[in-house]
Amino acid sequence: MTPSGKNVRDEVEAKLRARFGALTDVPLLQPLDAYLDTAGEGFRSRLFVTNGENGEELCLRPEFTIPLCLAHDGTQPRNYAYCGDVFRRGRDGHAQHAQAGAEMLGAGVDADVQVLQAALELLPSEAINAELVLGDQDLFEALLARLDITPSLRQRLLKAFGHPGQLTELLDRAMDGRQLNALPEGLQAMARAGDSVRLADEIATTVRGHGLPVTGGREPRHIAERLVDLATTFAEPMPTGKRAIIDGYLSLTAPYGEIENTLRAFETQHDVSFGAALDRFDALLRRLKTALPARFEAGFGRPLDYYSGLVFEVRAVGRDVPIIFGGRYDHLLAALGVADAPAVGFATALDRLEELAGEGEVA
Amino acid sequence: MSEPIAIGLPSKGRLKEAALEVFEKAGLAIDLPSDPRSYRGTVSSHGYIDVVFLSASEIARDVAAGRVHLGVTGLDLAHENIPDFADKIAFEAPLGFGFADVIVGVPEAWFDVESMDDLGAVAGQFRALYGRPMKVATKYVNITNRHFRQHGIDLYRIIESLGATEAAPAAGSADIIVDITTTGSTMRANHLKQIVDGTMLESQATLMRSKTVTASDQQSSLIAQVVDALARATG
Repeated sequence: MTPSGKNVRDEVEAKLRARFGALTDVPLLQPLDAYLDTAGEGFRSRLFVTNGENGEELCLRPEFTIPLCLAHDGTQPRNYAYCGDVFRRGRDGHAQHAQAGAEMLGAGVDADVQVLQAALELLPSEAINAELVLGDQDLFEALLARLDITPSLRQRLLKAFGHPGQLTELLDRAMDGRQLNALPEGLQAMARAGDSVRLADEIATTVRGHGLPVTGGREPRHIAERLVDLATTFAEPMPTGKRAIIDGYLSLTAPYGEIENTLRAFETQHDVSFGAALDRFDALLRRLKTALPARFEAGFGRPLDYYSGLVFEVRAVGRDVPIIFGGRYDHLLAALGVADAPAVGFATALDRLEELAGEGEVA
Repeated sequence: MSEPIAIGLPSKGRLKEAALEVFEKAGLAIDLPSDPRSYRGTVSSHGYIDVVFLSASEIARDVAAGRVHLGVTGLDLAHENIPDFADKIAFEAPLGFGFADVIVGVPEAWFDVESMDDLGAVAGQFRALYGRPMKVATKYVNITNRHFRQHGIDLYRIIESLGATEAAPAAGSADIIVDITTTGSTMRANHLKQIVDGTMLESQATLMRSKTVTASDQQSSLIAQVVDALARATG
């Protein structure tokens, strides 16, 4: 018997309705492509996949964000809240569990604090043994821009942001400098000279010689542009000073009351600036009301392409899965072909919320 | 009375011939049944060994499921078809035949791609440049996913290919391939090249022991004898 089970769900639904209006449902079966194209092929093994009548691949909804985005009319902003079962193969063997959350599609950064507040509101009112962890990809992006990190490396670092191992590997390689020894000498010279137009012609000629469709796969000019990038900006090893600043930033953490001071002190110490990103983050901190202990972790992010800006989690002490997780994903609607619009949201697993409430009663 | 142990061997082709040779060399010559349609054999020098001839892909499954005590088949089949293979199969001895490397092949014209790191960078550009993920043709879906994940690459799509995989990039159905190669000549003929750290698995015929089967002391000792004899013969 879990007497709290129904109560928690009712309470969560009522709170979401009060803030966002009627809850939205989405079909149980969703197009698999949308998930694999955004989260990657590796996600397939965690999904329950089946086929539609025309052979198209479908999956049981593993979450609500992508279905809501797909159903969203991209022309104007709209808020959605939901509560329902989601299906994915988890490490703990629970394939089905109830998830609730909200998405503010089309909403700019001003909405961040609303989403955070709505998420925190779902926690049990009694004291709980948990903490709120905040991160922000925009701050990292601002730092990289200030350090003159080349755009192609910056893009890769941002994608790996939140995955310490991948970040370290990328930075280690950047410190090595890149030589294009396997490239024919003539092409090397063109690449070093930045002549991507002639390089593209040479590549197109090679491809034509192979009897391959020139336009299939990658375009010669994109191969040429990347070669120029490698031969110019990547040839020089990243200076150790820059690397030290990046490493120093990624290991930064600060308790709630000291986040701004810590970041400002970092700016002064390393003669860098987070610019508007810090002003915005600071404004969020000032508006946020939380009874939970909170902490900023500079290296906290999600290593997927479509995340951006704020990221947050409520973590219960002694548990490795978060109770609530959310953040900004400004690139998802565009990646799904819905709209070029920002978005922010959060989700929570109801069983984890229930466990937390149960603990509170016992304590 | 003792119970016999069961050994699964490939039922046809070059793999079968090579397996029979290795067993003979190890002093475990296999008597084939008089009826060539039968799929059973025996080892005359060891009365308690049953030889079962099976399809190569089935052998990995049977070893993993404990339906046979030992089996000979390609390492790639265990890595691809058996979830959590390391818990179920012990790889006792490489047998020196059936060589096949599972490798990544990219178009030769991708002059900027020399390593998995480059491939990750290129995969990350596909959506922005072409509005779709990079497509990988392969029948080695699981090996590919594991290898790509190890290298931090997730933005790609698998196009399942059951034959003529090397032709997929030229046909436009995929951008790169993952396939087995022995000499690399098919790859070259299709203007594909290998890349540094793009070798996912160096496969060959391997003696595999089931970790899931229950064996009596006598069976265990016989299994150890067979493993030892084959390891010596090929080592």
